Amino acid sequence: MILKKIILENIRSYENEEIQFNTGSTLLAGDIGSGKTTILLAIEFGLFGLQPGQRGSSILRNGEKEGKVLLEFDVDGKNILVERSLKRGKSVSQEYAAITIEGEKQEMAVTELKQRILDLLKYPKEFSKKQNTLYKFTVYTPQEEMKQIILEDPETRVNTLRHVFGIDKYRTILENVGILRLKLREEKRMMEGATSTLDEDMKLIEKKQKHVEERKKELYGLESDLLVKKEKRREKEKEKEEIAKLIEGKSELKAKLGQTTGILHSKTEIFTNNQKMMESLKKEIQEFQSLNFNPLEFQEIEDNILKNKKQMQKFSDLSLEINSQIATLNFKISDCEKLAKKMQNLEVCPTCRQDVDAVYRANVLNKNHNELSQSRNKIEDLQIEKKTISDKIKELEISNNFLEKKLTDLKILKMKSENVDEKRLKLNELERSNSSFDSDIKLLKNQIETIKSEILSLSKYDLIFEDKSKELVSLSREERMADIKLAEAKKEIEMSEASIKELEERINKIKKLKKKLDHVSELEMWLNKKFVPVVSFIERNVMISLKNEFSKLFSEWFGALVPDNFNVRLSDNFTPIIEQQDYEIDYAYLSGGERTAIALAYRLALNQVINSLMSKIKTKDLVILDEPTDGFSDQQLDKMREVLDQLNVKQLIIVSHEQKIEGFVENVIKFKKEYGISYRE
Amino acid sequence: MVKFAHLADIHLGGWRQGPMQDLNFQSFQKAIEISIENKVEFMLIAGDLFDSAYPPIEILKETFAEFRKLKEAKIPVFIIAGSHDYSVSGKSFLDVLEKAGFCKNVHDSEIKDDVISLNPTTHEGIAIYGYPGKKSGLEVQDIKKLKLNEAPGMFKILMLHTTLDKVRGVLPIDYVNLEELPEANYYALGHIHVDFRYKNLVYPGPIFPNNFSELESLENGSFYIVDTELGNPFEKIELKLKEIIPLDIVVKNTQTATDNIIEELKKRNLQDKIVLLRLSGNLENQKASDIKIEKIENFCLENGAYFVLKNTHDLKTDDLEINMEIKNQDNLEEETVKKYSEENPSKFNSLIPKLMNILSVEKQEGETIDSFNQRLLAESKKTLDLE
Repeated sequence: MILKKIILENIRSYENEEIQFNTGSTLLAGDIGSGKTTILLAIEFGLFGLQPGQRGSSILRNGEKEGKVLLEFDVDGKNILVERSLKRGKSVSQEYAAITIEGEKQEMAVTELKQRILDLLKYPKEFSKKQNTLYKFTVYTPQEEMKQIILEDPETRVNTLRHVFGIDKYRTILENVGILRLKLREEKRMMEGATSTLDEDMKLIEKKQKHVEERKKELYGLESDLLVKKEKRREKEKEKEEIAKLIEGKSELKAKLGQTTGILHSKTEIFTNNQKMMESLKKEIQEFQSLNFNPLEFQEIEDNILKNKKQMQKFSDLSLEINSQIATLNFKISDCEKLAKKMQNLEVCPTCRQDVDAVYRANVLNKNHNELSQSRNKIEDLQIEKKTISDKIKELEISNNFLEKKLTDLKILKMKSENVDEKRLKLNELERSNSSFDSDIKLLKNQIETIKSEILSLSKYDLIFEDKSKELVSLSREERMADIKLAEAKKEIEMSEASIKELEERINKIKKLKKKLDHVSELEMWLNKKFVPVVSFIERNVMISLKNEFSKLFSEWFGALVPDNFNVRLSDNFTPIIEQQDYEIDYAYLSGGERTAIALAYRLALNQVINSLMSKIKTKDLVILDEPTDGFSDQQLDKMREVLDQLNVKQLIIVSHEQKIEGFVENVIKFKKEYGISYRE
Repeated sequence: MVKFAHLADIHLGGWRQGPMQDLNFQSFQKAIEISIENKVEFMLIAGDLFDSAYPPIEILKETFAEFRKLKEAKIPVFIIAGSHDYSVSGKSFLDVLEKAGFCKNVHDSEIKDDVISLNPTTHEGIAIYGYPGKKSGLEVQDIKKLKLNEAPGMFKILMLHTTLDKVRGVLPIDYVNLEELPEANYYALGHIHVDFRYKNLVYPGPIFPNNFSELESLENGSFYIVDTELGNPFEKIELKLKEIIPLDIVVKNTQTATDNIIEELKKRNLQDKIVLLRLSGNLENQKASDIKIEKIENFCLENGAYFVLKNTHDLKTDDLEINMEIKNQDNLEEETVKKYSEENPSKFNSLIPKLMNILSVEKQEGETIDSFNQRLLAESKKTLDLE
């Protein structure tokens, strides 16, 4: 950065002033209080606005409502114009802010502009909210502040410098490592907890595996035992089956015995019946031989019966004729009785409606009465006739009944004579059949005896069968037991193997976790034993390198300013140590000029260290020295010339009331103040 | 025949610290007092009356008062300039003293044909010659060319502010051989702060030890009263003002050093003593600033010590593990990590730069501690392959 121009409007003792800056060295000269330092404050304000804690009223001209700073400068060949204004309200605040880069103007918020400037100057962002110590240390340190830094307690100074050097970073790293380690330890503990069962699990699995092996060995025994028992049981079953077969034979024999006995019985029965039948046949044949059957008699009776039946038919027809004559006469009687009844009381003819004459009526009634008596007589005659006929029929019927009975007896006799031949044949047949039955019966009886003896010989197997059955039951039970034992053993092995598998899985998981745990432990250990030391080591190295460099430069600058008998260096907390001869001498015992020299040397050395360290920052080309020779002797002032030559910066701005300096610089800008207003001479 | 006081190396204004400056001055006062009491006929000051050519006004003021006493006692003072109060231009405050009539600068020389002839200043039959000291021993070559102009029958005193071979010891400075000196009855020497006498050559030592190691070795100042009537004419006068407690401590542990030193001091009576605290040692990885020198100093002063002087020059801490030119911080980090990794091999070493980068994050504004921690852990774990 190279400053080009600043315009001040109502800034402290200035009303309106424009100052051009050249490269090379420029002295802002003038009496004390002529407004030199205001220019420096205005430059700082132009760049960064009000610093934290800085009051606007310290910049704005007393009694004015508005003030303004326009600062033109160059960064890497780019022309930049910053414009800032202050306004007085209740207090003085920053009002307007704008930046023009290469002719392109942008208005923006005060903080935004600050950020922008930090970006342009490649300053760390952290300075957007903090005191811009980097600028203060490397570009412009207000007159008294450097002495303050030297007198500050070492801790504050080291912290400030650490900050300026960017060594804070290592402290942050160490703090953050602490957080990280805490977390890792926490995770480690959790993993340790989760893996603590490993040894136990390993033992357990070993035990289980051993157990399974043993059980497997036992399994052979159990299997062969089962086989033996199965074989025994099978043998016994065979034995039992054989016995069963024998017993089955016995039953068959029994059935055969029953059958044979049945046949014997039926044959004996037929034989007996046949004998009975033969006897009755013989008797019947004898009986028939005693009877005599006459066929002619039989014919005669049949003819008489037929003749009687014809006679009976003739009388029956006649009876029927008489019955119908009687019925007709009964009808005539009934009609006559009805007419008599009607005519007795009849006075008017029902047909011609003429009165019926009594004579007429008497005639009719007489005639009717005659007719009636005749009919009644006739019926009496007919009844007698009818009785005669009926008697005759009865006689005939009796005769016929007798005849028919006789005929039936004769019919039976006829049939019997016809059967005798048949019976003789049958008798012969029976006699023949019975003789065969007799031999059969004898055979059967022998057979039955044989069977019975056979059955008797087989009945001892029943007991044997029962024993075998019992033995088989016990053998089967033993086999079942062996089978159960084997199954149990197998089940147990299966279960143990499953649990071994489960355990193996768990162990594998734990082993994996343990690997991770080892990694974490190793890492945590490394962080603790190696990383923390290396960071501290780097920090130390950086600090020592910086300090040595700083100390060397400090000593050089001081040596250039103060002739011999002093020896200065920096302690490890960046405190200047001033040695006279061989003893240390407190800053307080130094003369004013020497103190200024210490402060200036410290400032210049620091400037160099930071600029070499933070090579990126863009303010390396500008150094502002505010009354750097306060209290210097003439001799020391002479030394300033060399110092300024050695500084070798592109733009050096010195504020000094020391006239001698005028001769050391390329440009001089003189200030004067009259009636409270500063101006450029 | 003659009785005089021989002083040298007073170095008024030499001590920066008021109390030590006071002692220096008191020592000078005492020497004057003793000289007056002993009724010396005159006084010689063989250079370095002042510590610089332009001493502070305060010192001058007091010095004048002392010279006035001598004048009142009618003891003339003969001086030469020393390496400190010498001025190339020849103008120094010694001139002021001389003009005021308080002393006589006896340097009076002429250079001719590479020979420096000295003219004597005579005082009651005594011829006093003198040649001043110069900065950086520049006077040595001149002294080798000295010739004393005749002062027949007189007691010759040659005053020089330089280094003689006899006192040089091992100091790497230019010196004059005894044989090269012109003949004189008494050689009043100054410059080397030792009490040394060889025949009639006398270095009286400084009036007050001028620095730390002189306080250690000499403890107090001294001067000579020479009385030629005595069998042994050389009497050394010691100017004892304060006792010295020298503590030479080799620090091994900076953490316990402060307390150990205080313990050590407790064993002594510090009342009105000058404590000389010399700390040395190779601290390696410890910080010198852990030694609370201020605390020790305060302890001494609280216990009545007159003054504490410290020397920590040999407290070495800066044996850099890595000696390299700082190009920038990154390069220093890189080199350090490289060196450390070589010395401490570990499979994790490759993680150092990445991890440093990740762990250098700071909590953002508005970020809670929890979310910051989570962010930090997540990023670290990623780098450490712990996910």
